[in-house]
Amino acid sequence: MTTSPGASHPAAGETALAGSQARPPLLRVEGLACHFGGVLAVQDATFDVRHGTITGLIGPNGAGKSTVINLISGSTRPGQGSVRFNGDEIAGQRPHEIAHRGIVRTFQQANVFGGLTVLENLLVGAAPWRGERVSAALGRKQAWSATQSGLLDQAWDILRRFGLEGIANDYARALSGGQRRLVELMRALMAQPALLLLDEPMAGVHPALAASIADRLLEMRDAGMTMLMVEHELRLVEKLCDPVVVMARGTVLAEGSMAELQSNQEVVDAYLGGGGGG
Amino acid sequence: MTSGLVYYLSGLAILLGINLIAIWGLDLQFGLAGINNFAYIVFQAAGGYAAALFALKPAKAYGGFETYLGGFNLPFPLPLIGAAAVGGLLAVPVGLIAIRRLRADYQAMAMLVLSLIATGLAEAQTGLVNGPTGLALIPRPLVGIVHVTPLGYNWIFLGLTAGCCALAWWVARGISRSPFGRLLRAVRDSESAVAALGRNPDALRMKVLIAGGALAGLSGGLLVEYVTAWGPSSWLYPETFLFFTALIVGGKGNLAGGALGALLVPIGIVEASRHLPAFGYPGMIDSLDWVVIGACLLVFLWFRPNGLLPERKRVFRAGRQQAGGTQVSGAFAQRLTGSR
Ligand SMILES: Nc1ncnc2c1ncn2[C@@H]1O[C@H](COP(=O)(O)OP(=O)(O)OP(=O)(O)O)[C@@H](O)[C@H]1O
Ligand SMILES: [Mg+2]
Repeated sequence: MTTSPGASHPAAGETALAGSQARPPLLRVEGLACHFGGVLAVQDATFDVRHGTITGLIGPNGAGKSTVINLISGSTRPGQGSVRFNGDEIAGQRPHEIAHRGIVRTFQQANVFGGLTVLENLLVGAAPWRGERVSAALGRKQAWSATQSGLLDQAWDILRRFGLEGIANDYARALSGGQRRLVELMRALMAQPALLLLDEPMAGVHPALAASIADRLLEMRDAGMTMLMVEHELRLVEKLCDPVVVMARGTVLAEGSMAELQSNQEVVDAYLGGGGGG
Repeated sequence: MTSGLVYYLSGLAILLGINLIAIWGLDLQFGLAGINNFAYIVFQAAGGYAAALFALKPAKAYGGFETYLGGFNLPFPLPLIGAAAVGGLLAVPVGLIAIRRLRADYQAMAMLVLSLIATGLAEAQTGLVNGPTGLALIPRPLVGIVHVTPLGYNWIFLGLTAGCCALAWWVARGISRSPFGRLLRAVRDSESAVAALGRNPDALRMKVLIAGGALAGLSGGLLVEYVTAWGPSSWLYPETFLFFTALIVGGKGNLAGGALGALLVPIGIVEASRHLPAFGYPGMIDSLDWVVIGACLLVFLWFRPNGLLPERKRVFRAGRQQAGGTQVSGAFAQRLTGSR
């Protein structure tokens, strides 16, 4: 917890090198399994997230998508399997250790700091920095206030991009459900993650705003951020995600572009055609 | 004013200061970080006993009428520093037992149980702090070095207490306005989100448990050195709720709120009741104290849970306060945010 902002996530500054076939994927999930009591939530899930992509993760309710996000981010400990990030095994590490490597997630249930203002939420999103130490708290304010105003500028910039300067100083607990989602997304962006895990970021967001968020996500992808995104709205998936991973009953059913998946009978039966999960 | 009244008021001011330090310590843990430390009184007691054991001569020196651990006869201000250190150190095992792995509601239970265990141990182990009788003859700071009237000594002790209050204020204010304090408030709201953003919530809570524990220890040390005698029955778990009530009435997460609570609850209610004309059976007024304090707590929890002086919002004004404050935002962030 000692690095300065911008320096802690080595991959964050790298752009997706066009056509870098030789490069190993940013994230490789292999044989991941996890059960709750007798329920196998995820079994033998295997897929990659390549640099500079927005990889989609779709599947019926209960397919295990959120569990996969939880397993990657360390909120849930995997029973089996491996998660490699930049070649390093991270399965079984604790959530803050994984986040510190540059994997930041959002939650399916918007998870904001209600007692903090929107701006403060964003400040907490920034990568860990020296001013957060106890010694800084007991020392002179000048030692951290300059860095903090830099972070504040960054936070205002993000707020403006989402058109939300108006709520900057509102307590997050006073926001609507859709606004909380946006705060969570902006907070994650403050961290400048190398890999952003999004669990249904558009759920409950007005379609017009969802479209504009989609544009933001595309811009960020073009700026070099890699994302793994769970989403039910297939039009958005089609617009944003390539490739798309389809899960059903805890396993990965198929992987490919939306066009490829639409011609895959198994996928159509299990999901696109409206089949139930397990 | 009669000199008796002045003496009484100066003593009251000392008690106010001692309570204030403890309440600010609890505010760090509970107000800022949301830790339901129902064992808080144990930290104050540990500091009190540490100060006593550091200040007392070995038991033999007093003809062995008490038994206790050590007796180091350290000069002022070492017993007080020791008290703060012991209060802070105690946070480590307590944190390991109660903070890690346990959900917030279970943390509260674990803390309460620890408090009961601590009292039980202190009373059962006579060799530790002289069993249920407690310690007496604890030397006061600077006695034998300064020669003054009792009132004069009260002024000196009040000065010492005020100095300790200033120190506590400096620690509490420094933490609450800092980025570290912001992380603590974030942990209070969502541990999982804090972890997902790369900070270890257990470590954050442990740090504030230590800081608050040190303030509790300091306050306990001052109390014991002022009163010169103290026993386990004075550090029972209900005393913890006295501090919680003060914070909830005054306003948690707000130093001025804590000060107001210290004035109203431990000093206001408890002292005022001493001046009531005696009625009922002996001890009835003491019991009524707890009725009043408990009722106060419930009324505020129902109708004004943020207290008389609620936590203040930290507002940041818009605009680039510093041209090119991009020292922290790397090239990536500029691309992320700069293409308007
Ligand atoms: N903490 C838990 N305890 C017990 N069972 C769980 C837990 N979390 C998930 N499950 C089970 O694991 C399975 C997968 O759940 P998961 O939340 O990953 O689904 P999902 O694909 O995200 O669904 P949705 O689209 O509804 O969000 C479900 O059967 C669910 O009941
Ligand atoms: Mg889900």
